[in-house]
Amino acid sequence: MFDIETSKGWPMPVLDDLNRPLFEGMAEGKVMVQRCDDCETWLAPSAFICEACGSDKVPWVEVSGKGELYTFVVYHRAYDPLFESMVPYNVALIELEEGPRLLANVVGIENKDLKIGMALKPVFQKVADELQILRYEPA
Amino acid sequence: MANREALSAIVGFGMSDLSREYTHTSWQLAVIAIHRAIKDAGLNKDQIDGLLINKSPVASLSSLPMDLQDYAGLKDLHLNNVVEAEGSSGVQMVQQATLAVQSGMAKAVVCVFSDAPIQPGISTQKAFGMPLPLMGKTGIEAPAALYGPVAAYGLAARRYMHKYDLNEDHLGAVAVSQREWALKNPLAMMKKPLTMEDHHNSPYVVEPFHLFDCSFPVNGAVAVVVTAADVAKDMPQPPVYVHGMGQGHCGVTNRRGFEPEVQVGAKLAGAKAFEMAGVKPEDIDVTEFYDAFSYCTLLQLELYGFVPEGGAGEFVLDGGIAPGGKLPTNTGGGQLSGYYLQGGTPLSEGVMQARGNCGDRQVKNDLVLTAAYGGRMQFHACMITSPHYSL
Repeated sequence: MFDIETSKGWPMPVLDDLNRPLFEGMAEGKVMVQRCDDCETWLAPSAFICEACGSDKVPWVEVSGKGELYTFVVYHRAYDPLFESMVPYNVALIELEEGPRLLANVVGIENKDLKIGMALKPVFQKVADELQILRYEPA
Repeated sequence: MANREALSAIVGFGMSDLSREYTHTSWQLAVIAIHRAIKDAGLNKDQIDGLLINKSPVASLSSLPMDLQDYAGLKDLHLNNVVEAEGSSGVQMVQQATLAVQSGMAKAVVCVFSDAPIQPGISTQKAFGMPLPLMGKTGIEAPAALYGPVAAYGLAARRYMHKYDLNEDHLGAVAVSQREWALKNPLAMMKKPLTMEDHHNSPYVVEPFHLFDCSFPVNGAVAVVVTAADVAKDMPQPPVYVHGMGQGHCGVTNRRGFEPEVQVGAKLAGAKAFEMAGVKPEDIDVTEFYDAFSYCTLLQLELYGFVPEGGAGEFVLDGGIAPGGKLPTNTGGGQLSGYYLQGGTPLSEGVMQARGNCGDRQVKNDLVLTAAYGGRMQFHACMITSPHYSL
Protein backbone atom coordinates (compact mmCIF):
# COMPACT_ATOMS: atom_id res chain seq x y z
CA MET A 1 0.00 0.00 0.00
CA PHE A 2 1.20 3.47 -0.87
CA ASP A 3 2.59 5.52 2.02
CA ILE A 4 1.90 9.18 2.52
CA GLU A 5 3.17 11.83 4.87
CA THR A 6 0.95 14.70 5.90
CA SER A 7 2.64 18.06 6.16
CA LYS A 8 1.15 21.55 6.22
CA GLY A 9 -2.31 20.09 5.81
CA TRP A 10 -1.69 18.18 2.62
CA PRO A 11 -0.61 14.60 1.94
CA MET A 12 2.93 14.74 0.66
CA PRO A 13 4.17 12.21 -1.88
CA VAL A 14 6.94 9.99 -0.61
CA LEU A 15 9.54 10.49 -3.30
CA ASP A 16 11.58 7.63 -4.68
CA ASP A 17 13.68 7.03 -7.78
CA LEU A 18 10.59 6.04 -9.76
CA ASN A 19 8.45 9.10 -9.12
CA ARG A 20 10.94 11.87 -8.28
CA PRO A 21 11.17 13.31 -11.83
CA LEU A 22 7.39 13.62 -11.96
CA PHE A 23 7.13 15.69 -8.77
CA GLU A 24 10.35 17.65 -9.38
CA GLY A 25 8.90 18.53 -12.77
CA MET A 26 5.71 19.77 -11.13
CA ALA A 27 7.76 21.95 -8.77
CA GLU A 28 9.36 23.59 -11.83
CA GLY A 29 6.09 23.89 -13.73
CA LYS A 30 6.86 21.06 -16.14
CA VAL A 31 4.78 18.03 -17.15
CA MET A 32 7.06 15.01 -17.27
CA VAL A 33 6.23 11.56 -18.66
CA GLN A 34 8.37 8.70 -19.87
CA ARG A 35 9.04 7.41 -23.37
CA CYS A 36 10.76 4.22 -24.38
CA ASP A 37 14.02 4.87 -26.21
CA ASP A 38 13.76 1.59 -28.12
CA CYS A 39 10.13 1.37 -29.29
CA GLU A 40 9.10 5.01 -28.71
CA THR A 41 5.99 4.07 -26.71
CA TRP A 42 4.83 6.87 -24.41
CA LEU A 43 4.36 5.52 -20.88
CA ALA A 44 2.16 6.63 -18.00
CA PRO A 45 4.12 7.30 -14.80
CA SER A 46 5.92 5.53 -13.38
CA ALA A 47 7.56 2.86 -15.49
CA PHE A 48 10.59 0.82 -14.46
CA ILE A 49 10.67 -0.88 -17.85
CA CYS A 50 8.67 -0.35 -21.04
CA GLU A 51 5.51 -2.42 -20.71
CA ALA A 52 5.28 -2.63 -24.52
CA CYS A 53 8.73 -3.98 -25.43
CA GLY A 54 10.48 -4.67 -22.14
CA SER A 55 13.30 -2.17 -22.67
CA ASP A 56 14.85 -0.64 -19.57
CA LYS A 57 15.59 2.62 -21.39
CA VAL A 58 12.59 4.69 -20.30
CA PRO A 59 13.81 8.28 -19.76
CA TRP A 60 11.61 11.13 -18.57
CA VAL A 61 10.71 13.71 -21.20
CA GLU A 62 9.02 17.10 -20.82
CA VAL A 63 5.75 17.42 -22.78
CA SER A 64 3.26 20.25 -23.26
CA GLY A 65 0.80 18.54 -20.92
CA LYS A 66 -2.16 19.34 -23.16
CA GLY A 67 -4.81 16.69 -23.30
CA GLU A 68 -8.46 15.83 -22.93
CA LEU A 69 -10.71 14.65 -20.14
CA TYR A 70 -10.83 10.85 -20.17
CA THR A 71 -13.00 10.24 -17.10
CA PHE A 72 -13.72 11.87 -13.74
CA VAL A 73 -15.48 11.53 -10.41
CA VAL A 74 -16.93 14.10 -8.00
CA TYR A 75 -16.45 13.53 -4.28
CA HIS A 76 -19.50 14.42 -2.20
CA ARG A 77 -17.85 13.48 1.06
CA ALA A 78 -14.31 13.78 2.37
CA TYR A 79 -12.42 10.60 3.06
CA ASP A 80 -9.91 12.65 5.02
CA PRO A 81 -10.68 15.79 7.07
CA LEU A 82 -7.97 17.54 5.04
CA PHE A 83 -10.29 17.65 2.05
CA GLU A 84 -13.52 18.71 3.75
CA SER A 85 -13.30 22.31 2.56
CA MET A 86 -12.93 21.11 -1.06
CA VAL A 87 -16.12 19.02 -1.19
CA PRO A 88 -17.60 18.66 -3.75
CA TYR A 89 -14.32 18.22 -5.62
CA ASN A 90 -13.36 16.28 -8.72
CA VAL A 91 -10.56 13.87 -9.56
CA ALA A 92 -9.98 13.13 -13.24
CA LEU A 93 -7.90 11.12 -15.63
CA ILE A 94 -6.50 13.26 -18.43
CA GLU A 95 -5.29 11.68 -21.66
CA LEU A 96 -2.27 13.60 -22.93
CA GLU A 97 -1.84 14.35 -26.61
CA GLU A 98 1.02 11.83 -26.56
CA GLY A 99 -1.27 9.10 -25.15
CA PRO A 100 -0.40 8.50 -21.48
CA ARG A 101 -3.05 9.30 -18.87
CA LEU A 102 -2.43 11.34 -15.74
CA LEU A 103 -4.49 11.69 -12.59
CA ALA A 104 -5.29 15.27 -11.54
CA ASN A 105 -7.99 17.65 -10.33
CA VAL A 106 -9.67 19.92 -12.90
CA VAL A 107 -10.03 23.51 -11.70
CA GLY A 108 -11.58 26.66 -13.13
CA ILE A 109 -14.84 24.93 -14.05
CA GLU A 110 -18.01 23.85 -12.26
CA ASN A 111 -18.16 20.10 -11.72
CA LYS A 112 -21.50 19.95 -13.53
CA ASP A 113 -19.85 21.32 -16.67
CA LEU A 114 -17.18 18.62 -16.90
CA LYS A 115 -17.53 16.57 -20.09
CA ILE A 116 -15.51 13.58 -21.21
CA GLY A 117 -13.49 14.59 -24.27
CA MET A 118 -13.18 18.28 -23.39
CA ALA A 119 -9.81 19.92 -24.09
CA LEU A 120 -7.69 20.67 -21.03
CA LYS A 121 -4.39 22.38 -20.34
CA PRO A 122 -2.07 22.09 -17.36
CA VAL A 123 -1.94 24.55 -14.50
CA PHE A 124 0.36 24.33 -11.50
CA GLN A 125 -0.94 25.09 -8.01
CA LYS A 126 0.71 25.19 -4.62
CA VAL A 127 -1.23 23.07 -2.15
CA ALA A 128 1.36 23.30 0.64
CA ASP A 129 4.44 25.42 1.28
CA GLU A 130 6.69 22.81 -0.27
CA LEU A 131 4.32 21.10 -2.69
CA GLN A 132 3.22 22.37 -6.09
CA ILE A 133 1.09 19.89 -8.01
CA LEU A 134 -0.18 19.54 -11.54
CA ARG A 135 -3.83 20.33 -12.07
CA TYR A 136 -5.87 21.01 -15.20
CA GLU A 137 -8.20 23.71 -16.50
CA PRO A 138 -10.29 24.09 -19.65
CA ALA A 139 -8.11 24.88 -22.66
CA MET B 1 -22.20 -32.32 -25.45
CA ALA B 2 -19.35 -34.55 -24.44
CA ASN B 3 -19.79 -36.40 -21.17
CA ARG B 4 -17.50 -34.61 -18.74
CA GLU B 5 -16.88 -35.63 -15.16
CA ALA B 6 -16.38 -33.16 -12.36
CA LEU B 7 -12.95 -31.86 -11.36
CA SER B 8 -13.66 -31.70 -7.62
CA ALA B 9 -16.53 -31.14 -5.22
CA ILE B 10 -17.45 -28.71 -2.48
CA VAL B 11 -18.76 -31.00 0.27
CA GLY B 12 -18.78 -28.69 3.29
CA PHE B 13 -19.95 -25.10 3.80
CA GLY B 14 -20.02 -22.87 6.85
CA MET B 15 -20.35 -19.20 7.70
CA SER B 16 -19.83 -17.25 10.89
CA ASP B 17 -22.60 -14.92 11.98
CA LEU B 18 -22.48 -11.67 9.98
CA SER B 19 -22.41 -8.37 11.82
CA ARG B 20 -22.01 -4.63 11.50
CA GLU B 21 -20.76 -4.69 15.10
CA TYR B 22 -17.34 -5.86 16.18
CA THR B 23 -17.75 -9.19 18.01
CA HIS B 24 -14.68 -11.26 17.13
CA THR B 25 -11.29 -10.87 15.48
CA SER B 26 -10.96 -11.95 11.87
CA TRP B 27 -9.13 -15.14 12.82
CA GLN B 28 -11.80 -16.02 15.38
CA LEU B 29 -14.51 -15.60 12.74
CA ALA B 30 -12.42 -17.81 10.45
CA VAL B 31 -12.17 -20.54 13.08
CA ILE B 32 -15.96 -20.47 13.59
CA ALA B 33 -16.63 -20.78 9.84
CA ILE B 34 -13.98 -23.50 9.40
CA HIS B 35 -15.49 -25.68 12.10
CA ARG B 36 -19.02 -25.15 10.83
CA ALA B 37 -17.88 -26.22 7.35
CA ILE B 38 -16.08 -29.31 8.65
CA LYS B 39 -19.12 -30.35 10.71
CA ASP B 40 -21.40 -29.67 7.74
CA ALA B 41 -19.27 -32.03 5.64
CA GLY B 42 -19.67 -34.77 8.23
CA LEU B 43 -15.93 -34.77 8.89
CA ASN B 44 -13.85 -34.21 11.99
CA LYS B 45 -10.99 -31.75 12.04
CA ASP B 46 -8.35 -34.47 11.88
CA GLN B 47 -9.64 -35.52 8.45
CA ILE B 48 -8.76 -32.08 7.07
CA ASP B 49 -5.32 -32.11 5.46
CA GLY B 50 -5.29 -28.78 3.63
CA LEU B 51 -5.94 -25.15 4.55
CA LEU B 52 -6.16 -22.18 2.20
CA ILE B 53 -6.59 -18.73 3.72
CA ASN B 54 -7.94 -15.53 2.18
CA LYS B 55 -7.70 -12.22 4.02
CA SER B 56 -8.80 -8.81 2.84
CA PRO B 57 -6.01 -7.08 0.88
CA VAL B 58 -6.35 -4.07 3.18
CA ALA B 59 -6.16 -6.13 6.39
CA SER B 60 -2.82 -6.87 8.02
CA LEU B 61 -1.24 -10.25 7.51
CA SER B 62 -1.34 -10.78 11.28
CA SER B 63 -5.14 -10.49 11.24
CA LEU B 64 -5.37 -13.85 9.49
CA PRO B 65 -1.93 -15.47 9.59
CA MET B 66 -0.62 -18.91 8.77
CA ASP B 67 -1.02 -19.65 12.48
CA LEU B 68 -4.73 -20.00 11.71
CA GLN B 69 -3.91 -23.70 11.45
CA ASP B 70 -3.16 -23.76 15.17
CA TYR B 71 -6.02 -21.44 16.15
CA ALA B 72 -8.34 -23.90 14.38
CA GLY B 73 -6.64 -26.99 15.83
CA LEU B 74 -5.66 -28.44 12.45
CA LYS B 75 -2.78 -30.95 12.52
CA ASP B 76 -0.53 -32.67 10.00
CA LEU B 77 -1.59 -30.67 6.94
CA HIS B 78 -0.25 -31.45 3.46
CA LEU B 79 -1.21 -28.00 2.15
CA ASN B 80 -1.27 -24.64 3.94
CA ASN B 81 -1.11 -21.25 2.27
CA VAL B 82 -2.42 -17.71 2.20
CA VAL B 83 -3.95 -17.10 -1.23
CA GLU B 84 -3.15 -13.48 -1.97
CA ALA B 85 -4.97 -12.55 -5.15
CA GLU B 86 -7.10 -9.84 -3.54
CA GLY B 87 -10.83 -10.24 -4.08
CA SER B 88 -10.45 -13.03 -6.63
CA SER B 89 -9.04 -15.29 -3.91
CA GLY B 90 -12.48 -16.46 -2.81
CA VAL B 91 -12.70 -18.43 -6.05
CA GLN B 92 -8.95 -18.95 -6.50
CA MET B 93 -8.88 -20.91 -3.23
CA VAL B 94 -11.36 -23.43 -4.62
CA GLN B 95 -9.34 -23.61 -7.84
CA GLN B 96 -6.12 -24.34 -5.93
CA ALA B 97 -7.88 -26.83 -3.69
CA THR B 98 -9.20 -28.56 -6.81
CA LEU B 99 -5.68 -28.89 -8.22
CA ALA B 100 -4.50 -30.28 -4.88
CA VAL B 101 -7.20 -32.95 -4.56
CA GLN B 102 -6.91 -33.89 -8.24
CA SER B 103 -3.18 -34.45 -7.91
CA GLY B 104 -3.49 -36.33 -4.64
CA MET B 105 -1.48 -33.74 -2.75
CA ALA B 106 -4.36 -33.35 -0.28
CA LYS B 107 -7.69 -35.09 0.28
CA ALA B 108 -9.86 -32.55 2.10
CA VAL B 109 -8.98 -28.87 1.83
CA VAL B 110 -10.76 -26.21 3.83
CA CYS B 111 -10.80 -22.76 2.19
CA VAL B 112 -11.71 -19.74 4.31
CA PHE B 113 -12.28 -16.03 3.74
CA SER B 114 -12.58 -13.88 6.83
CA ASP B 115 -12.60 -10.16 7.51
CA ALA B 116 -13.43 -7.82 10.36
CA PRO B 117 -13.15 -4.33 8.88
CA ILE B 118 -15.51 -2.90 11.48
CA GLN B 119 -13.49 -2.43 14.67
CA PRO B 120 -14.10 -0.29 17.75
CA GLY B 121 -13.70 3.30 16.53
CA ILE B 122 -13.16 2.34 12.89
CA SER B 123 -15.97 2.82 10.39
CA THR B 124 -16.10 0.95 7.11
CA GLN B 125 -15.37 4.25 5.35
CA LYS B 126 -12.14 4.54 7.32
CA ALA B 127 -11.30 0.85 6.98
CA PHE B 128 -11.42 0.96 3.18
CA GLY B 129 -10.78 4.70 2.60
CA MET B 130 -7.05 4.93 2.06
CA PRO B 131 -5.42 6.23 -1.13
CA LEU B 132 -5.30 3.41 -3.64
CA PRO B 133 -2.34 2.92 -5.99
CA LEU B 134 -4.56 3.35 -9.02
CA MET B 135 -1.83 4.60 -11.32
CA GLY B 136 0.78 2.08 -10.36
CA LYS B 137 3.80 3.28 -8.51
CA THR B 138 3.66 7.05 -8.58
CA GLY B 139 1.99 8.14 -5.38
CA ILE B 140 0.10 10.75 -7.37
CA GLU B 141 -3.22 9.59 -5.89
CA ALA B 142 -2.96 11.18 -2.45
CA PRO B 143 -1.90 14.67 -3.58
CA ALA B 144 -4.85 14.58 -6.03
CA ALA B 145 -7.10 13.62 -3.06
CA LEU B 146 -8.06 10.29 -4.62
CA TYR B 147 -8.97 8.21 -1.60
CA GLY B 148 -10.99 5.02 -1.32
CA PRO B 149 -12.32 2.43 -3.71
CA VAL B 150 -15.56 4.30 -4.44
CA ALA B 151 -13.70 6.86 -6.54
CA ALA B 152 -11.36 4.36 -8.17
CA TYR B 153 -14.41 2.43 -9.38
CA GLY B 154 -16.27 5.66 -10.07
CA LEU B 155 -13.64 6.71 -12.60
CA ALA B 156 -14.10 3.38 -14.35
CA ALA B 157 -17.89 3.49 -14.18
CA ARG B 158 -18.02 7.00 -15.68
CA ARG B 159 -15.89 5.87 -18.62
CA TYR B 160 -18.02 2.74 -19.12
CA MET B 161 -21.24 4.76 -18.97
CA HIS B 162 -19.84 7.25 -21.48
CA LYS B 163 -18.78 4.49 -23.87
CA TYR B 164 -22.22 2.89 -23.97
CA ASP B 165 -24.38 5.97 -23.32
CA LEU B 166 -25.72 4.70 -19.98
CA ASN B 167 -27.23 6.73 -17.17
CA GLU B 168 -28.04 6.38 -13.49
CA ASP B 169 -31.18 4.37 -14.26
CA HIS B 170 -28.97 1.55 -15.49
CA LEU B 171 -26.89 1.59 -12.31
CA GLY B 172 -30.02 1.92 -10.20
CA ALA B 173 -31.62 -1.07 -11.90
CA VAL B 174 -28.78 -3.25 -10.57
CA ALA B 175 -29.34 -2.01 -7.03
CA VAL B 176 -33.12 -2.41 -7.25
CA SER B 177 -32.86 -5.94 -8.72
CA GLN B 178 -30.43 -7.08 -6.06
CA ARG B 179 -32.57 -5.63 -3.30
CA GLU B 180 -35.47 -7.75 -4.57
CA TRP B 181 -33.27 -10.80 -4.13
CA ALA B 182 -32.08 -9.65 -0.70
CA LEU B 183 -35.65 -9.49 0.58
CA LYS B 184 -35.83 -13.26 -0.03
CA ASN B 185 -32.53 -13.98 1.76
CA PRO B 186 -32.57 -14.28 5.58
CA LEU B 187 -28.80 -13.67 5.61
CA ALA B 188 -29.04 -10.37 3.72
CA MET B 189 -28.32 -7.21 5.69
CA MET B 190 -30.81 -5.04 3.76
CA LYS B 191 -34.39 -5.75 4.79
CA LYS B 192 -36.42 -2.94 3.20
CA PRO B 193 -37.64 -2.64 -0.40
CA LEU B 194 -35.72 -0.24 -2.67
CA THR B 195 -37.23 1.70 -5.57
CA MET B 196 -35.46 3.46 -8.43
CA GLU B 197 -36.57 6.73 -6.80
CA ASP B 198 -34.97 5.68 -3.49
CA HIS B 199 -31.76 4.93 -5.38
CA HIS B 200 -31.70 8.28 -7.17
CA ASN B 201 -32.59 10.17 -3.98
CA SER B 202 -29.87 8.54 -1.93
CA PRO B 203 -26.87 10.84 -1.49
CA TYR B 204 -23.93 10.70 -3.82
CA VAL B 205 -20.86 9.23 -2.20
CA VAL B 206 -18.52 9.80 -5.12
CA GLU B 207 -20.43 10.70 -8.28
CA PRO B 208 -21.54 8.80 -10.38
CA PHE B 209 -22.20 6.48 -7.41
CA HIS B 210 -25.11 7.04 -5.07
CA LEU B 211 -25.05 5.36 -1.68
CA PHE B 212 -27.06 2.41 -3.00
CA ASP B 213 -24.54 1.76 -5.78
CA CYS B 214 -22.04 0.79 -3.08
CA SER B 215 -21.58 -2.49 -1.25
CA PHE B 216 -22.38 -3.07 2.39
CA PRO B 217 -19.34 -4.34 4.34
CA VAL B 218 -19.81 -6.64 7.31
CA ASN B 219 -17.62 -8.63 9.65
CA GLY B 220 -17.82 -12.32 8.89
CA ALA B 221 -16.27 -15.46 7.45
CA VAL B 222 -17.11 -18.08 4.81
CA ALA B 223 -15.51 -21.54 4.61
CA VAL B 224 -15.89 -24.49 2.25
CA VAL B 225 -14.39 -28.00 2.21
CA VAL B 226 -13.16 -29.30 -1.16
CA THR B 227 -12.56 -33.00 -1.90
CA ALA B 228 -12.07 -35.17 -4.96
CA ALA B 229 -15.26 -35.47 -7.00
CA ASP B 230 -15.56 -39.24 -6.73
CA VAL B 231 -15.85 -39.32 -2.92
CA ALA B 232 -18.47 -36.59 -2.67
CA LYS B 233 -21.52 -38.72 -3.39
CA ASP B 234 -20.99 -40.57 -0.09
CA MET B 235 -20.91 -37.37 1.95
CA PRO B 236 -23.96 -36.06 3.85
CA GLN B 237 -24.58 -32.83 1.90
CA PRO B 238 -25.62 -32.45 -1.74
CA PRO B 239 -22.24 -32.14 -3.53
CA VAL B 240 -21.42 -29.00 -5.48
CA TYR B 241 -19.33 -30.29 -8.36
CA VAL B 242 -16.71 -28.06 -9.96
CA HIS B 243 -16.66 -28.48 -13.74
CA GLY B 244 -14.78 -25.48 -15.06
CA MET B 245 -12.28 -22.98 -13.72
CA GLY B 246 -10.66 -19.93 -15.26
CA GLN B 247 -8.61 -16.89 -14.45
CA GLY B 248 -8.07 -13.68 -16.40
CA HIS B 249 -5.59 -10.91 -15.69
CA CYS B 250 -5.27 -8.49 -18.61
CA GLY B 251 -2.88 -6.00 -17.07
CA VAL B 252 -3.62 -2.29 -16.75
CA THR B 253 -2.34 0.06 -19.44
CA ASN B 254 -3.03 3.75 -18.82
CA ARG B 255 -2.60 5.16 -22.30
CA ARG B 256 -4.49 5.72 -25.54
CA GLY B 257 -5.61 2.54 -27.25
CA PHE B 258 -6.38 0.77 -23.98
CA GLU B 259 -9.44 1.08 -21.75
CA PRO B 260 -8.64 -0.70 -18.48
CA GLU B 261 -11.99 0.53 -17.18
CA VAL B 262 -13.82 -1.67 -19.70
CA GLN B 263 -11.27 -4.23 -20.87
CA VAL B 264 -10.85 -6.41 -17.80
CA GLY B 265 -9.93 -10.07 -17.39
CA ALA B 266 -13.43 -11.45 -16.91
CA LYS B 267 -13.63 -12.37 -20.60
CA LEU B 268 -10.38 -14.35 -20.43
CA ALA B 269 -11.45 -16.08 -17.23
CA GLY B 270 -14.86 -16.99 -18.57
CA ALA B 271 -13.57 -18.32 -21.88
CA LYS B 272 -11.24 -20.73 -20.07
CA ALA B 273 -13.90 -21.95 -17.64
CA PHE B 274 -16.57 -22.43 -20.31
CA GLU B 275 -14.11 -24.38 -22.47
CA MET B 276 -13.13 -26.61 -19.55
CA ALA B 277 -16.74 -27.34 -18.60
CA GLY B 278 -17.80 -27.75 -22.22
CA VAL B 279 -20.69 -25.31 -21.86
CA LYS B 280 -21.64 -21.90 -23.20
CA PRO B 281 -22.82 -18.74 -21.44
CA GLU B 282 -26.41 -19.39 -22.57
CA ASP B 283 -26.33 -22.72 -20.70
CA ILE B 284 -25.76 -21.02 -17.33
CA ASP B 285 -28.83 -20.89 -15.06
CA VAL B 286 -27.67 -18.54 -12.32
CA THR B 287 -24.69 -16.24 -11.82
CA GLU B 288 -23.01 -14.96 -8.68
CA PHE B 289 -20.60 -12.05 -9.15
CA TYR B 290 -18.30 -10.03 -6.96
CA ASP B 291 -20.26 -6.79 -7.23
CA ALA B 292 -18.58 -4.16 -5.05
CA PHE B 293 -20.34 -1.43 -7.05
CA SER B 294 -23.40 -1.54 -9.30
CA TYR B 295 -21.37 -0.99 -12.47
CA CYS B 296 -19.32 -4.14 -11.80
CA THR B 297 -22.34 -6.37 -12.37
CA LEU B 298 -23.10 -4.67 -15.69
CA LEU B 299 -19.56 -5.08 -16.98
CA GLN B 300 -19.30 -8.72 -15.90
CA LEU B 301 -22.62 -9.63 -17.53
CA GLU B 302 -21.08 -8.44 -20.79
CA LEU B 303 -17.59 -9.88 -20.47
CA TYR B 304 -18.79 -13.31 -19.33
CA GLY B 305 -20.82 -13.35 -22.53
CA PHE B 306 -24.39 -13.23 -21.21
CA VAL B 307 -25.27 -10.07 -23.15
CA PRO B 308 -23.54 -8.16 -25.97
CA GLU B 309 -20.94 -5.59 -24.92
CA GLY B 310 -22.82 -2.43 -24.07
CA GLY B 311 -26.06 -4.34 -23.64
CA ALA B 312 -26.08 -4.99 -19.90
CA GLY B 313 -27.73 -1.71 -18.94
CA GLU B 314 -30.85 -2.38 -20.99
CA PHE B 315 -30.87 -6.06 -19.96
CA VAL B 316 -30.90 -5.15 -16.28
CA LEU B 317 -33.39 -2.32 -16.76
CA ASP B 318 -35.72 -4.89 -18.35
CA GLY B 319 -35.50 -7.05 -15.21
CA GLY B 320 -33.00 -9.51 -16.69
CA ILE B 321 -31.18 -10.25 -13.42
CA ALA B 322 -34.06 -9.77 -10.96
CA PRO B 323 -36.31 -12.53 -9.58
CA GLY B 324 -38.17 -13.97 -12.57
CA GLY B 325 -35.60 -12.57 -15.00
CA LYS B 326 -33.77 -14.37 -17.77
CA LEU B 327 -30.52 -14.71 -15.82
CA PRO B 328 -30.94 -14.68 -12.03
CA THR B 329 -27.84 -12.87 -10.75
CA ASN B 330 -26.51 -12.16 -7.28
CA THR B 331 -29.48 -14.04 -5.90
CA GLY B 332 -28.63 -13.40 -2.26
CA GLY B 333 -28.68 -9.64 -2.80
CA GLY B 334 -25.01 -9.58 -3.72
CA GLN B 335 -22.60 -7.23 -2.04
CA LEU B 336 -24.91 -4.24 -2.47
CA SER B 337 -27.85 -5.58 -0.47
CA GLY B 338 -26.73 -8.94 0.91
CA TYR B 339 -23.33 -8.70 2.55
CA TYR B 340 -19.89 -7.59 1.39
CA LEU B 341 -17.44 -10.37 2.23
CA GLN B 342 -15.28 -9.91 -0.88
CA GLY B 343 -14.94 -13.23 -2.74
CA GLY B 344 -16.83 -14.91 0.09
CA THR B 345 -20.08 -13.33 -1.10
CA PRO B 346 -20.39 -15.00 -4.52
CA LEU B 347 -18.76 -18.17 -3.16
CA SER B 348 -21.34 -18.58 -0.39
CA GLU B 349 -24.42 -17.84 -2.49
CA GLY B 350 -23.09 -19.97 -5.35
CA VAL B 351 -22.73 -22.96 -3.01
CA MET B 352 -26.21 -22.47 -1.51
CA GLN B 353 -27.81 -22.19 -4.97
CA ALA B 354 -25.99 -25.25 -6.33
CA ARG B 355 -27.07 -27.24 -3.27
CA GLY B 356 -30.67 -26.19 -3.72
CA ASN B 357 -30.80 -24.72 -0.22
CA CYS B 358 -32.07 -21.27 -1.07
CA GLY B 359 -35.73 -21.49 -0.10
CA ASP B 360 -37.81 -18.66 -1.58
CA ARG B 361 -34.95 -17.49 -3.74
CA GLN B 362 -33.94 -20.89 -5.12
CA VAL B 363 -33.68 -20.94 -8.91
CA LYS B 364 -32.89 -23.56 -11.51
CA ASN B 365 -29.34 -24.56 -10.69
CA ASP B 366 -28.01 -27.10 -13.19
CA LEU B 367 -25.14 -24.76 -13.99
CA VAL B 368 -23.93 -21.99 -11.68
CA LEU B 369 -21.27 -19.42 -12.60
CA THR B 370 -19.41 -18.03 -9.59
CA ALA B 371 -17.00 -15.20 -10.31
CA ALA B 372 -14.77 -13.02 -8.16
CA TYR B 373 -12.27 -10.31 -8.92
CA GLY B 374 -9.64 -8.30 -7.11
CA GLY B 375 -8.03 -4.90 -7.37
CA ARG B 376 -10.12 -2.47 -9.36
CA MET B 377 -11.33 -5.39 -11.45
CA GLN B 378 -7.78 -6.34 -12.50
CA PHE B 379 -7.72 -9.94 -11.27
CA HIS B 380 -10.51 -12.34 -12.22
CA ALA B 381 -11.27 -15.92 -11.27
CA CYS B 382 -14.41 -17.90 -11.96
CA MET B 383 -15.79 -21.41 -11.74
CA ILE B 384 -18.72 -23.33 -13.15
CA THR B 385 -20.41 -25.63 -10.66
CA SER B 386 -23.34 -28.02 -10.76
CA PRO B 387 -25.25 -30.50 -8.59
CA HIS B 388 -24.46 -33.04 -11.34
CA TYR B 389 -21.32 -35.20 -11.36
CA SER B 390 -21.36 -35.46 -15.16
CA LEU B 391 -22.30 -32.83 -17.69
